[in-house]
Amino acid sequence: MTTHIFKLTIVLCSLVLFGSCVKSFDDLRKDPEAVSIALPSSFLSNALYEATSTLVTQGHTINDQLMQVNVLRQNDNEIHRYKILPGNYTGMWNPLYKRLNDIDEMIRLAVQRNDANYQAVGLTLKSWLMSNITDIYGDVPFTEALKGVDGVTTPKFDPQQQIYDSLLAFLEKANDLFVLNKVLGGEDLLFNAGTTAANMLKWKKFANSLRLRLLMRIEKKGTAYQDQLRMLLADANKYPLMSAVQDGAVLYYTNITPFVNPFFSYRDFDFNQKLVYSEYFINYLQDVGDPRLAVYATKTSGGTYQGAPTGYPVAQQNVISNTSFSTYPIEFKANDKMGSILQYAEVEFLLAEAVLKGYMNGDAKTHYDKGIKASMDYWGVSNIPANFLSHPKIAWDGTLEQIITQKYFALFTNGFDQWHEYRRTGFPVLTPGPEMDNNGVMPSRIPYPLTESLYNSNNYNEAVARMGGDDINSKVWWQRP
Amino acid sequence: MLLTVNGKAFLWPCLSTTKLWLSMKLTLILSVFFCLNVCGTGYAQRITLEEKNASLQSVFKKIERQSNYLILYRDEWLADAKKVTVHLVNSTIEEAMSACLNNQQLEYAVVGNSIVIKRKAVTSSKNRPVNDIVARPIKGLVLNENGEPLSGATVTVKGTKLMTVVNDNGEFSFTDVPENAVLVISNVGFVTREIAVSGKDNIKINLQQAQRQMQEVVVTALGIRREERSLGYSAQKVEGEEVTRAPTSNWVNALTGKVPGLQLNKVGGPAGSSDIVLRGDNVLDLGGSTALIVIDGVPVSTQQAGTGYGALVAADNPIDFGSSLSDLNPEDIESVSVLKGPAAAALYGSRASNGAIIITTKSGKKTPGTGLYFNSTITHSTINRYPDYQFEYGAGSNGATYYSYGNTADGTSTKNSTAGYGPRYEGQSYFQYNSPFDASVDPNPLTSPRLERVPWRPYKNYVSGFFRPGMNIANTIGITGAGYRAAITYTKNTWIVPNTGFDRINIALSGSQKVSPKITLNSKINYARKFSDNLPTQGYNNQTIMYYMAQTASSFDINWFKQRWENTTSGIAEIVPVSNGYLDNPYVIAYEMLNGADRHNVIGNVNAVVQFTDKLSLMLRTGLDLSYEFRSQQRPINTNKFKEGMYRQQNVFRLENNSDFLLKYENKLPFGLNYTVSVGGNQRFNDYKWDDAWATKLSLPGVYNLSNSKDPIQTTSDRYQFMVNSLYGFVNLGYKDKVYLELTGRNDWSSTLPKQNASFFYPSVNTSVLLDKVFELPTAISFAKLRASYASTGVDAKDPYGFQVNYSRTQFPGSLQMPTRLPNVNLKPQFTNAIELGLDLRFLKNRAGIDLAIYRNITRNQILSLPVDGATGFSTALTNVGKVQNKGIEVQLRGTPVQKRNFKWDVLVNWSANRNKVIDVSSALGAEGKLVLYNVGFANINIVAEEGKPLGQLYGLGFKRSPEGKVVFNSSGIPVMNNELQNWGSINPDWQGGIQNNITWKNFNFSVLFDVRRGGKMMSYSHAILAATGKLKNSLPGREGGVTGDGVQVDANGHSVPNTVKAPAATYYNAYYLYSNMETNVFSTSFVKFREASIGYHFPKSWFKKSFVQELSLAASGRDLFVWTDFPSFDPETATLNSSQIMPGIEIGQFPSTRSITFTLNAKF
Repeated sequence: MTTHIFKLTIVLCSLVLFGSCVKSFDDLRKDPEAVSIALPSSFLSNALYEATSTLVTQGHTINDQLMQVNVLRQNDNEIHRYKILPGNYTGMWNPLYKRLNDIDEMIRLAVQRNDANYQAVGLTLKSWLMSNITDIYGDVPFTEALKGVDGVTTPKFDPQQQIYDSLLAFLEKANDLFVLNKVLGGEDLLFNAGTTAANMLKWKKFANSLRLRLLMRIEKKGTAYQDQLRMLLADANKYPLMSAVQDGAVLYYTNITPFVNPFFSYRDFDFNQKLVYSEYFINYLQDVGDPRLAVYATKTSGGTYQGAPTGYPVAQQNVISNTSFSTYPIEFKANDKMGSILQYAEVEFLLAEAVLKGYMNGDAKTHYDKGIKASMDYWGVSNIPANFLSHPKIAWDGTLEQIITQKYFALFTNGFDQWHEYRRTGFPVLTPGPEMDNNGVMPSRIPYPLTESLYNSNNYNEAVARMGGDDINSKVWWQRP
Repeated sequence: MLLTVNGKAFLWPCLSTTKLWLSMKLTLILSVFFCLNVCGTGYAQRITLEEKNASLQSVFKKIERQSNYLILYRDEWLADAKKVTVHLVNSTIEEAMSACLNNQQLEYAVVGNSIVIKRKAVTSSKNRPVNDIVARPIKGLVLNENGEPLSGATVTVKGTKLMTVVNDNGEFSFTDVPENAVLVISNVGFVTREIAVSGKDNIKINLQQAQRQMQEVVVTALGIRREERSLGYSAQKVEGEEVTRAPTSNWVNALTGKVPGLQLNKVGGPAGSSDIVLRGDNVLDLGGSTALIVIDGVPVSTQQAGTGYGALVAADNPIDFGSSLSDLNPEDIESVSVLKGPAAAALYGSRASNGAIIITTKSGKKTPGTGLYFNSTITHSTINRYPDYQFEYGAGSNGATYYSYGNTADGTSTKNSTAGYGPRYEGQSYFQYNSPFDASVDPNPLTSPRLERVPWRPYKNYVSGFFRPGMNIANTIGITGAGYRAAITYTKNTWIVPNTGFDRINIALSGSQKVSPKITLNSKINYARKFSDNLPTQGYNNQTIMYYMAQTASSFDINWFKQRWENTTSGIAEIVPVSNGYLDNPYVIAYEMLNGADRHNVIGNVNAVVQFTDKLSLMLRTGLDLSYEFRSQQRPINTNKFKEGMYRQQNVFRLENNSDFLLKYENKLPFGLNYTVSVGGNQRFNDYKWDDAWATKLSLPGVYNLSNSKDPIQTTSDRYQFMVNSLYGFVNLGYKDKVYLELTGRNDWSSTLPKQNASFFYPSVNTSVLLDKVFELPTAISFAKLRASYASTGVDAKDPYGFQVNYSRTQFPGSLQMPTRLPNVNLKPQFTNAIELGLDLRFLKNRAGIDLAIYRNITRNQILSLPVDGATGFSTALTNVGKVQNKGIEVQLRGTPVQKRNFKWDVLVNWSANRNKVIDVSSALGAEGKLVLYNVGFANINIVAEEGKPLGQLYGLGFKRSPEGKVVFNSSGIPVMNNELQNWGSINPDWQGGIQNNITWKNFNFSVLFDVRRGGKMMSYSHAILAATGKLKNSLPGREGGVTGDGVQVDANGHSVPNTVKAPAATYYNAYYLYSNMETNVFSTSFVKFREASIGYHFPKSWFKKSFVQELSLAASGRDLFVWTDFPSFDPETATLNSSQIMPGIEIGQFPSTRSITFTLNAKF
């Protein structure tokens, strides 16, 4: 009997154990879905796409209202009145840093594998995103940022000047690193240099054009930057710049998932119904007979173009309907040109400014006209009216205002760059409407996300003290006289 | 041998037999271990025994073990008894006893739940009364309180050895009793009665049910049944009928108000998922303090696999698919034990640190008749409460003086405005959607010019008219017999949102078999299949009904939306007469944006108990919770969020396997000391697989499958496996029924922690002292128990791979990204230490009782994913952080104010208060006394853990205030927001309680339950939207002429001057109730609810005497009948479903809650 029971017990015991497939703990600790080995190329497509989406969509809300491109018809999110709510502080911080983290990993792996091109591409993209973050917020974490893996969870905020110095160095280094006869290797949504070595040059041009943008932004902050600017412009062989629309750094969306225009999933309401174009934007284009107007804007039910005044009286809110005012064509949700990072037109306007300010020799008018044409080209306007370039408002009059005003139209849907340029130059001349917040003064920066004071309070407080308050009117370094 | 009765010593056998019975040595019943699947609540157990030449003592011991009877005898009598040889299979106690006592000089009687062994009288004449009067025959009928025959009762003639047993019809007879004889009628579970014959020859006796037995049995950890009195911690039992009396779609919700210290955070919807929290939130992970759920000794998953979307305007929204727990059929539940502190559940390890809910499903039971039974419930639900809607102003925006559908003679179109700031309803007429139009001019009802004005009127049912009464019909057919039970239930649920609900089949099987005299095999299997064509989407977004309901206005007839498409057959152009690209037709949402689910779930276990010797036993068990679910989500083309449609499908496989062994040795020592030593082991293995594939655009409208994808199909997948091995041991000591002590220790090895921290140990100790046995207490106190416990519980990580740095995939083929969460290579286990003291007092023969518990739990080293500065490159970081304390008190009062033969009134009051405190949240992450646990960035809604305060502080924006504390207004008279996060209160309630009354009157029973919660704040996003857009009454003041806000303006010199500017009402309320303004959108969740009422009727058994029906009862009940609360949205008892997490403290687009009425029919054959 006892042996009988013993046998049965053994059988039952093994049954119980059989119930679970026995694996060793070490095997179980391996995430079956995880990828722990990557190539530098692994990070490019997604980081590029997501970062551009962030700037394009946030720009649509913040830049475009501040810069009188569009006006909100609702009264709970009135950035066009220079009223910036805490909800608007957050959208650029985490998403951009997250992509920078991918790009840093790309650079790290490229260094490890001695892949000069990926290293250069990484440095270029890092400079592009970091400059946007610091231009939006001011002093931000940089040297200690993106070091979560190394245990730095409360990075210190660096002064903007130091960040700029580093970015300029990155771009110099990138320019040196590019190997033009070698393909990038992986998929390249931006220039298709993945399989075509000839397109590596476009990356190099992008890096230098970006450097030109950054140097011009801080040009008045010291002779060192002016010297760099001169050096960059003096040697087109060493520092090739964009020279054709096709050189432009633009994500041309195929609109095949996942490479779709980020507005594709927007509701019509959020994309073009709760807002209309501003009076300034429409009137200017209409005054000068700009053919881009027909591309940018819908006609009213009356068949005309009409913009709404920025800071319109709140009481008029229900008058501003989107049938009696112009708004973005709904097709723009799937437009392939909305992923603009740095266009050739911008480079021409930068060159016009450089000539104007004496950083290089040449004819400012030529660059200015080229800039206008490049933007027309970009938007597919082939027939520029004959008299357009001679329109009194358009014809080159040798002023910075004219360059920046035209650049403003060329920077349409280009993230936050219109606003960056306005804060630098004060152009185009925008007239605040009747009911504005902030005394009608253009905000100088976006405050840090409110949660910074909880997550990283010491460093946050230090930066705020240095900036003179976490306020929309605290000026970033390059804005200060 | 010396015996003690009433403190006096005396000798055998010189006293009367009744006294002897009382004074006999008590043998301990309930050797709880072994009773794993033997039902412990009834006394109808069957006995299976195979003995050869065994001593009578050992046979009795085995009978005790298999039944709940206590056998009382004198050792001397058994010493000279003959050895017994018995062969019993599924025998009744009577059969067993007769077999044992065959040819012995002994006989037995059943008294209560005891069996008393007596010596046979040598001759009956010796005991004849002296004054022998004429003997005569007598017949009798024994009935229970309901007038039903009470078979099996024993009738003895007092003072004699004459005894008989009542037959199935309740009858008994004696051929020969003295005329002045007194009959003693006794039966298990009934109060013994004595009745004088007094010359009658026919007697009818009603026996009354005895008070609940003292030795209440509670199922504790590992399915071990313990006498309640031996427990050193709080364990509360809820009978199965409590969860079926007034059914809900998720039976768990029926526990509300019945268990002190239990709080439910509910998600509305047909699946009705709830987060069960015992004794407050312990962990900083919101929604992570869920109690462990154990079904028949096997833990099951309560968490569902989320869709990955948040509740608030994400790309899509979450859906409540339910879980293994919610799919359990309430009809299959025998009882529920709630073990509140970790002490109670120390042996379950990790997951029981938040307490455990232990569910025992029904097992086979011998019943009279065929054992077949049938029951049917039908539940009808309607919405029990609405926000305070205004019906004075129609749709329109700020200052609208007219309404016009399209450009008309009245002015330009205002049709796109859905705010409630339009013209007042004053009997006027406007061109509206329901105005006639000329289809020959333009057949499209959306654009065709309107020809006539129609009356401007509110549609009072503009919200309610959409919903329908919910119906839940459940029918069960089952059969039960000794050792087996099988039941099948079909549930059909149609929920209040049209075209939502589910069908469910539950099959429950339970069997027990003695395969050899020493081995018993038990098995229980519960299978559920739930399928639904459509479960509603939760939260606030285009795909949710409640988004539409928050946006629509009272001048829009819900019937305008009933036609869903412009061309009814096409499914191409959605009809939304109002809004401009932000609303979807609610009927399109209900009938076209479908979320289907088909879920199979098996919960089962097989166990074997091997009784090596009287003292040594082994339990082996393996249990499974396995589910597979196929889900689909379809979105038609031309809806706002999905212009080209979408189709998505998910396969979710989930398995949890627990295998246990438990070796137990029990023995007695001299001086009344008993001890049990047990050693056990458990292996838990979890396996999870998730595949998600979707078509981001559809090629053809209306075809929902992956083949119809226009773009490359997108996929994601997730898999994990983890294992926890455990060894544990415990020692139970008992001293003379007076003092009990239990010591436990457990060591876990978990694969979810890094190697160096994978092993962790935790002990517990608890004791109970029966004061009434130790001390002389006043006679009014019938029972007094003091209990104390200390326990520590270690918890491993929830995420199996949190300590590894891995890249994650992206939507771009071959492209990777850095993880969003910063991993932690040095994760340590989390620990909870708990102390509990309790006192259980019962008075006046148990007519009244009080059970008190006080406790303190501290949870430290919590494993949390915390938000970090995004500049680190990560959104969250996994870390060990924090220390949270919960202190509290729980009181349960029981009383029976009236107890008469046909009338009994029981009152049960429970009350609990928990004080939660965050002791430490400073961490390496740089948090300085505050941790953000949850954050909705754009709305600035934060739930924060702040040192020194209760867990879950609402942090958000409020009004800017002047130095004098007045609200600051801008020059337009609009309140100005302060751009600083401020504290708006704690989400934790101050106290909660319930009062339940049960009345039994003849064959009727009535029950009423009220429950109360005080305190606790919640942010209502729904209120913010409704109030800001002028839909609620609180936006009415100042509609004409504007609102002058009470506060100040700051003049050019920085001085505060009173605000005198009148702002237009719409602008004012829009700013005042802005969704990111917590000051005006955080509310107390205090409530009083008329939770349950029921009335039941048991048809007297005599009615079906001649038929095959054994039992028939009918009941009607109501649930959530009335709610009294200041909470402005539907229900204060709500939480938000975020992907799979049930988030307390925020209400976002909550579904209405319902009042339900149920009719139940029970029949046994």
